[in-house]
Amino acid sequence: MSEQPQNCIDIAARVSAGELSATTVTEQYLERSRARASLNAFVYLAEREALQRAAELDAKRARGEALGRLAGVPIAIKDAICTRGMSTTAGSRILSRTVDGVRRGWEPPFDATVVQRLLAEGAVVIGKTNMDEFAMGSSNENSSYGPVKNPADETRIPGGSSGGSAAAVAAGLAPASLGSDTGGSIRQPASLCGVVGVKPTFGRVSRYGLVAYASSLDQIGPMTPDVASSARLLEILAGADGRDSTASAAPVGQYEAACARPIAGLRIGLPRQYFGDGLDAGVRAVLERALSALRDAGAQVVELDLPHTDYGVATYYVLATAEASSNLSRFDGVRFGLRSERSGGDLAELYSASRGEGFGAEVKRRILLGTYVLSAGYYDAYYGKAQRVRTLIRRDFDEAFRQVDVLFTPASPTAAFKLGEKNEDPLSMYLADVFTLPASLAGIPGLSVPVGAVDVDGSRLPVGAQLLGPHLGEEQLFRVAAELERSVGRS
Amino acid sequence: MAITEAEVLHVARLARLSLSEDETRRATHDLARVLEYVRKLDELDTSNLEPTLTVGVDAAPLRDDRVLPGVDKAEVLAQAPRSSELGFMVPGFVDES
Repeated sequence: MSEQPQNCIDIAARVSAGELSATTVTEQYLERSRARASLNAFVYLAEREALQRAAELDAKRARGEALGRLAGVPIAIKDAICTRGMSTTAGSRILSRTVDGVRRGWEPPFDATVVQRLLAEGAVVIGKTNMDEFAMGSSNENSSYGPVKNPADETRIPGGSSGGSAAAVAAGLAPASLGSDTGGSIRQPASLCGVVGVKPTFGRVSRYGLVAYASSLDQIGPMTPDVASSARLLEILAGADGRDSTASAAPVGQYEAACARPIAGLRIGLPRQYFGDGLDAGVRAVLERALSALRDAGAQVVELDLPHTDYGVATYYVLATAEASSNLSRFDGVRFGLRSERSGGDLAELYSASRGEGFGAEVKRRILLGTYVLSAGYYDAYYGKAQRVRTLIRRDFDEAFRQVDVLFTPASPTAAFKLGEKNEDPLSMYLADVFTLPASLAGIPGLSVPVGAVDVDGSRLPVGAQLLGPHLGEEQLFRVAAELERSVGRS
Repeated sequence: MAITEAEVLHVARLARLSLSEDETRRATHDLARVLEYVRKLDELDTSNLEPTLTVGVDAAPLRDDRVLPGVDKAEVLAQAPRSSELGFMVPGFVDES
């Protein structure tokens, strides 16, 4: 066989042309996934379902039918996204039952809209990826399945919460994955694993079938090795959906075409607050090289201020936990997943015992915090206050995008840290998201693209740049990301 | 502002979340730390600001008024911890005495 395809676009072209079968492609990725099981990237590898689907696609092609823009492309799906009849647990014990001594995840009776859209273009669901429980975490250490390891150094975290989706793509276990991003959960792991990850504008992609964490923030997005594949995936995922009233009806951009457009004349802003003392010196040096490449390509780089950046973490942890405390009330031991056997004959006791057994420590912490900030006497001081600070953060970005087209920032203050390094102190973990949270609060799109690596204790660890754009400004992000990929991405 | 174990237990009851003694102690410590950090927001004067409730959702688009198939009842019930063909099974909670 000729050289192994490296990305979705290549795979789809070769499968469509009949040069490669969907079955061969699927078998190759399954084989690699089994070989690197130590990464713990998958919580469910869908071997049987994926091969059956690939065979169906090959039969369809043999009949002369077109397969679509993702013909035969295996895609790994974050475990928070519903896949019909296939285990979906959001990394939690509460969405699992033990049947005959074996853990079995909840099997949703429907596919998420994003999964339907991928399947309609000929994709193959290859498995469900590990994640921080209910997407609450920045290191993947909060998963009830145990942590994911960073493919670049297995003693380090992959980032979170979409750590399994990032690691799977970085290690070549899948040519694409879906993640979800509430406060950085696509962009931060993409950066720490060295892949491209996109958090679209709030409302750009339907959330129907996404296990909800914080509904005013959650977005689903693609993760791939290359920029153009993410662009193609987002074109497929984006658009209105009758099943999610927050999904925008605005026309979907030409993201893939945007990757080929030169960036000369584009105005790129550097927010000073993102390049302060908290930024690791090695990461800073990598980002500066990337910036020179953008200048060389004709971009006009200007410094500016986002004055309320420092309030992002506090604002986020009030609003997101408040929303989570409400969203997670649906996990009650009645309709799906775990029911405590200790609950006796009382319904309220059944709820609290099932939730007590089913939720992990971080999820409990956030439910408690969210319930507290919404409770009588504290609502205005915390929740109301944070909603008003959110307005200030949003205005910072509105002002910035009057001066520039795209913002360039670090995605994470450091490269991947060690497993166990931060998980004893929730606050230090929350601060790992300092560069991704403000854009989530503003609802604007963000993209993380690999721009180099740093050497730390004998490991070469990936570094990503975060690009931020105005509301529905994804095309510009793909333009700049593609330029970075051409000039520094493979260094 | 310190939070007490009694307050944590009150909040846990509101959230229908059973906590062990150890979890209560730990949660009290962690919440106190996070709440102290969050007080940082008080540095800002927000008295003349509108709250942001959601972002970028201009108007909820309407879909066509068409009947689409819903999920299959048997498939849903099969995933419940306890169910009968009538629905989800829970302990009795109406006192009929």
